Amino acid sequence: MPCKCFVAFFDIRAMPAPARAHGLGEAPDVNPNDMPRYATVYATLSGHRPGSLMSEHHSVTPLLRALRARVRSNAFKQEVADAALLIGAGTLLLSLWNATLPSAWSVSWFWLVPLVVAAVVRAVTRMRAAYPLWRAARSADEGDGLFDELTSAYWFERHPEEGGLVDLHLGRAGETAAGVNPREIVPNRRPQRLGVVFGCAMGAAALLLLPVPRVFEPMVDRLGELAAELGQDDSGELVAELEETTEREPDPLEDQAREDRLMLPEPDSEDAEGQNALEEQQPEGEGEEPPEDPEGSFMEAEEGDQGEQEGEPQEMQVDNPEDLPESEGEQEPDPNQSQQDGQGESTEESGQTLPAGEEVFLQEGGEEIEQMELGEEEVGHATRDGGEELDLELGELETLEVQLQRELLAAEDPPEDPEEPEEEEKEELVTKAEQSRIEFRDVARPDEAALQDLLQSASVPWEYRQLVLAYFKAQRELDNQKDEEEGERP
Amino acid sequence: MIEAEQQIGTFQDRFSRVQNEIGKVIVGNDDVIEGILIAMLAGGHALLEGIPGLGKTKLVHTLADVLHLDFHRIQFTPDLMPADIIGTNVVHENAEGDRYLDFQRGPIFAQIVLADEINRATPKTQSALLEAMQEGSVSVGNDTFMLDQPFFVLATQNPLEMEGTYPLPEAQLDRFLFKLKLDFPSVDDLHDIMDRTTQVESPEVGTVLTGDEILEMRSTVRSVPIARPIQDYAIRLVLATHPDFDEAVDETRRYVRYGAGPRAIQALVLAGKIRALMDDRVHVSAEDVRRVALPALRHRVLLNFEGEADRVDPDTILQAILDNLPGPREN
Repeated sequence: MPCKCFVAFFDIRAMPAPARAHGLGEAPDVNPNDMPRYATVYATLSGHRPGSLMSEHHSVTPLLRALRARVRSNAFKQEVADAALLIGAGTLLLSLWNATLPSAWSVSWFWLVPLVVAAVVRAVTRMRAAYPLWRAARSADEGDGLFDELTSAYWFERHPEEGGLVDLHLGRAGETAAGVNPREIVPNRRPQRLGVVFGCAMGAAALLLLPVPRVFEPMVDRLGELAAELGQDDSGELVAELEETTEREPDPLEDQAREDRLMLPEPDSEDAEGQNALEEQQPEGEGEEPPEDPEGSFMEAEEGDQGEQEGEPQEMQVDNPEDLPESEGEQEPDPNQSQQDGQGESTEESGQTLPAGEEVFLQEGGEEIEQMELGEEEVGHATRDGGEELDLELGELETLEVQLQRELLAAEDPPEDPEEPEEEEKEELVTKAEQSRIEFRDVARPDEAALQDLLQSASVPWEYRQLVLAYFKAQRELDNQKDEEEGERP
Repeated sequence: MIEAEQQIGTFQDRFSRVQNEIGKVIVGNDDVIEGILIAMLAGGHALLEGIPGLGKTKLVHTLADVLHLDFHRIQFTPDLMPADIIGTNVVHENAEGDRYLDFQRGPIFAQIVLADEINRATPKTQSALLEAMQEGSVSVGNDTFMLDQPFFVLATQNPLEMEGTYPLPEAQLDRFLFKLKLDFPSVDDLHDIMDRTTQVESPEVGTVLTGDEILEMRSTVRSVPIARPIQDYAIRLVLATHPDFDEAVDETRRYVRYGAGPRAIQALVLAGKIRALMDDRVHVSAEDVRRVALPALRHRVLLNFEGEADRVDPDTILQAILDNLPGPREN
């Protein structure tokens, strides 16, 4: 209708060729020099670009604008749906948070305001993105199979060229545009994800209106407790200690002490006290025992035990070398340890109840008692594998004699201050070790038992057991080297 | 505008008449016939490639019969010299006994020239066609002779028999608007060929188009408008054959040494205009450009060593470009 009013107001015959082609009026022969004037008038009233010879009502521009409007309409609906989805999802999460978690953790509804602002800003920004008419023309051409007719016509409308074929092209494009239904090119599209938006809205409404048990409250409490427990974990200290132990350089003196410690099983506290008490009563210079010293006491006990056992391994190696593992088994601390513990206690009790006559007799016995003790020890070892009753009987007698002998020796010579063993005594010890006919390498290493104990103990975390194992292996190699060096010495 | 519509109607009528007349003799190969006509109406030349016996020479003979134009055939051989094509000065003697040099025109002085088996002549002889094909003139000594318009060269070559042949140099190839490949005819087409050539009566064609009409059609073609975005698309299509172009496809970067030049863009635009007129449109679309891209570009793409070694067909590269190059865009 605006077109007809416009045509009625002006001289219809002054319309350019494209308009005439659509039957809006017959134009006289227009001087080409006057064409720019008409074009200016049309452009001023129709908002069209100055210089164009085309009437907008018969060009492709109205169609393209309609297409663009429909595209923007679809885009607007989609943007609204996206914004609603954003806000709905935020509302749902907030409702879920406030409904299920403890009330102390509840979040204020004011936190939705930034989300709403962000959704609106996003929608506005996307809507303001340029959708030029060129794109509308391209979409129309591709959608309707127009072989770029509208695209080309739109370009020639913006960049007018003279020529009969150009006018013909524009006129044909105008006819084509008039026959194109914008709804077919750009149909109405239902916004995507509307179902999700509806679901979010329903979910949020349900959470707000219906009572929801705070199912996560116990879990949150439990989590808090767990966090507190985790905060008290002292595994870090153990790890640091292990790392420090691993990184420390091996100290020869410390290694020697550790090796000495590992040669014998760890005595019980009571047993150790009894042992110390015996050692304190032991006279100096009497027999082969070194003076009282914590280290020396260990050596004494070790030597005494091994001295009793030395006879057996030597015979076993000569007679039957395959029995070596059994001799190793005898060195394991558990059976002997329990037996020695029992002996220690029985010694004290029997020492208190023995009559004096027997003490005198035994005191006079001297060397014979010691020889008898060796013989009984052999018998004790022979019967230890067979039965326990005989072992217990002989064991009481043996420990009694040793106790009595040590008490006598202690009575003769009062204990002195602990001193270092003399050089001669050390040489004697070395000589004893060298006299053994068992290869040193064939004897089970005492550190293996210590390693097993350490690895099986629960205080070493699993992830650091390999580290501990590596440490002991390295230590073993170091010991082997030392042994080889000592063996090579003349 | 009515004149314009009449102009277009006349163009389409003449075009279809020529097609129909040629179709009386030549069976099948409609694309080749169409390509030859497009090359002629665009003012270019066409190179026909096909194995022997497919009717290349027959097609050109038929075209010459349909068009009321002077026709010469040059059989290219290795010993053919440039003077055998463009002509030479011959000593004449007048009645008074005076001798003078007179230029004896060669077979190039025609409106339709069939350069049969053009790759059998030496490059020196092949280049004798360069000036005639591009400028429409022949220079001999100090004299320049203008060729009659329309001037149209149709060359044929055999792709199989490469021994003793001289491949056309790039400059010579670039003068051809189209390179058209003749495919082997189908069984039905072979039946038609047998029916037409083995019976008593042979099909005859009449002259349906004159030289002036062809020139008028050429003018109509050049008046078809093309929007800048479509022209930009044609330019980008040609630039995509260059391996250093931003929008070049992987095939181009890998196999192409040099791409097509500006003459290829001219060929695309002019051929696109003719295709638009044939389709009763007065504007060129991107589809028109795409449809003439293969014959206009396949002989202008120079393969590199890897492409030659892998025997890559330029059509494969061009098809990849057509598939991947974005469409027209607003400038």
